[in-house]
Amino acid sequence: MEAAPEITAAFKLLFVGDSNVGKSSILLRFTDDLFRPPDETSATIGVDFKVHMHDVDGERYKLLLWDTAGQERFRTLTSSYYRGVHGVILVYDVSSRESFAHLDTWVEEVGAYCLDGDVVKMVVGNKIDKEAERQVSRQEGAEYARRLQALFLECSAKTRTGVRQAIEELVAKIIDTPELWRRGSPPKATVSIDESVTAGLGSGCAC
Amino acid sequence: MVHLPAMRAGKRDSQGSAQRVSVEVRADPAAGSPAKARMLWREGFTPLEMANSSMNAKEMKRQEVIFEIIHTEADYVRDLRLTAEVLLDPLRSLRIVPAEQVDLIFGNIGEILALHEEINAAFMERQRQQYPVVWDISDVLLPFVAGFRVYARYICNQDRALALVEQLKSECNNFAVFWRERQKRPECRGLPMESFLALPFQRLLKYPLLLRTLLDATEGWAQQYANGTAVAEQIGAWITKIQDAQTKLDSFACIDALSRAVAGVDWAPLAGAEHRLAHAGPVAASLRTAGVLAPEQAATMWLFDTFALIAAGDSAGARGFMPAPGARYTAVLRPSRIVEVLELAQRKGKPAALVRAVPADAPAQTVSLVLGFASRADYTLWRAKLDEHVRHTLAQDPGLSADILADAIARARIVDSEPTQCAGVVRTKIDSGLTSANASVSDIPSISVRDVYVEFPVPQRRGRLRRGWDMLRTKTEDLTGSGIKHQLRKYGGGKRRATELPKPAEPPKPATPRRLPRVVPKRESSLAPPKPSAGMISTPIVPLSPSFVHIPRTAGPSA
Repeated sequence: MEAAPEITAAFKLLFVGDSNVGKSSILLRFTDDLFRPPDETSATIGVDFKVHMHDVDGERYKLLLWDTAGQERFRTLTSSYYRGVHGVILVYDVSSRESFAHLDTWVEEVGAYCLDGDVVKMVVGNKIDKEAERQVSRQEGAEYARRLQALFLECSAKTRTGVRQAIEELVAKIIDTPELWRRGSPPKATVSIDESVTAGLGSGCAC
Repeated sequence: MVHLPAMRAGKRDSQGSAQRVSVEVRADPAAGSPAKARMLWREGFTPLEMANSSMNAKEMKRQEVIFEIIHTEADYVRDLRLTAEVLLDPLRSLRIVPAEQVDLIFGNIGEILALHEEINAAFMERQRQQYPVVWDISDVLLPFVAGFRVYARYICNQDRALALVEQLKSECNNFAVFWRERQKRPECRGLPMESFLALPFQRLLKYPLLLRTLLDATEGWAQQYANGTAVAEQIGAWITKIQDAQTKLDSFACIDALSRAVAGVDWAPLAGAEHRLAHAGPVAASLRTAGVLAPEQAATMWLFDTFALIAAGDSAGARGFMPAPGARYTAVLRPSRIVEVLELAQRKGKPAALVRAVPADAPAQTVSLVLGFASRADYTLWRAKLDEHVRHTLAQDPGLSADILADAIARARIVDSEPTQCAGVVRTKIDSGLTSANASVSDIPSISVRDVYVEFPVPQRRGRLRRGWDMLRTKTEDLTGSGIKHQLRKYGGGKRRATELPKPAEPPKPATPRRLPRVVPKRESSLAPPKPSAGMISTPIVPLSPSFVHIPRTAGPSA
């Protein structure tokens, strides 16, 4: 295992969405196959970022998964998160209409900070285990994602339904879009993101 | 200060078992494998012990949160130390990049580490005293909250620090090799180095979340609840202030760029004050002078809280709110305070508004112009920002002439009664954003741009950033403007060593790096086995030894 195969590329994936939609839970379920029920443990956070090796067709990809839990209110400060992002996972809670409605502001934010516009977006409806409390139908979610030209999936971090598929689909999509991650440089362990250099330094500013 | 409840649940010898709780669970030495999930408080006890304890579910939950706060603090301090030992110190002592750039990248992370070393020590002490059930944690944190100011400088400059890292990675070979080699170290757990730089930011924003969860589990414990609320409010206040400082700093950068792009404007009075950019974007503007409307002009408007600017020019290449680098704009509306906004009937099928503004350099005049917006949604967004601006101007601007002010306010009242035409432009007191009665929250001061401003090199001159041995090769001047000779003298080369250097007429030899005997990193033995080899640059794994600083073959001088 440690005689690690050559890493084809590293992808930075970012989880965004309202508080309590389960961003950290999806992340924890994906990387550690763990779920901490909120009534049983503190389950506040868990993670800041995780690294996950992901093998597709004999190629190894390094996924850097960034959680933004707790930072939902501090928009100006989170802008640096979007630097060099390849994929954004927009999470909402199917049992909360509000979290679905707020996706618009998150999409706006992604558009504002990912200036090149070429990030792969995925809309994920979490907590489908709460079928009885469902407020956002599958069709609605799918329709919203279609308008965004984003991928769509419903999942449940609690029952692990769909979690793996969600990330796998997103990664497959990124792999299918090589202009997103090759960006002129030969594939290696660190993908240099030239745009962000000029963007950040050229402006000397986060905006 | 805090009255601890007399009851103690678990009966245990506190001295002997204290170590057990602070065990590091997350440290997984296997390179590349992700960190394991955090241990839970209850996992430190046997089922029998849990069954025999007198704690109810809520108390247990509270212990989990407290345990998590203590534990994540320890992790955080460990990772900060790691950042200093694995990245900062070697980067500085190896002089792969000059010290100024190391300072820019890592900012005041040392101050943050020092603060949290203290917090961590206090947490550990509390845990040792009250093991296994810690009755409160916020009272331990409270005295340290005033020190959270150190975050401002770090966080506000983080974005540019990361940009500098990206730039060095692509321009300085030694730096790129170093950075990659560090990432492969087992203690870094396969995490990209940049994520260590983001740690302070993430940790700071985690406190409100942790404390909120703690408070939810603390209902019923009056003293602890009060302590928790105080800490949560103060940290929240700090974050708000830091956010504000970041906005001001970004706006400063924007004004700086504008001052270079827009000619014919006196920027001096504006540059001295603090501004917050509210919104920027394309509008169609036409000035109205003596009742005659000038032809419509496609332009960009920058709306700050204290002034607005409309300028026409080539906006291609503009990124976000920043004007395009090197672009030239002509001002349509000089920096002015907008005092009135009236919605007009549609103009050419697009929403439009009449705007009256007072130029900053001529406070007795008013200028009116018609703005056209691309769509209804665009208008709504602009309108909200403009109304906010107007409210701000009317409420606090003492520089406006009384006539204009009275006029605008009078009109605002009139139009207020007809809400279909104009939303309220009313003199309101600006909300400070902090409604808490907690005195210590209002004690938290504003952070001015000067407090957080760190000058980063201007990127246009890429050559200035090429450092390390690239510098010797190209013989460019370094950032401080001093030449190689000075550099050598400064870093212990001195005259004695200078004799070994090639004469100025000759190209420098690859052997010159050996002039630096002090290059040995302090913790060399713990870093990597010395395995010097020529041409190591081509291999990704480079042993970190004094010979690390070699002129790579490719970068060597060509005769």
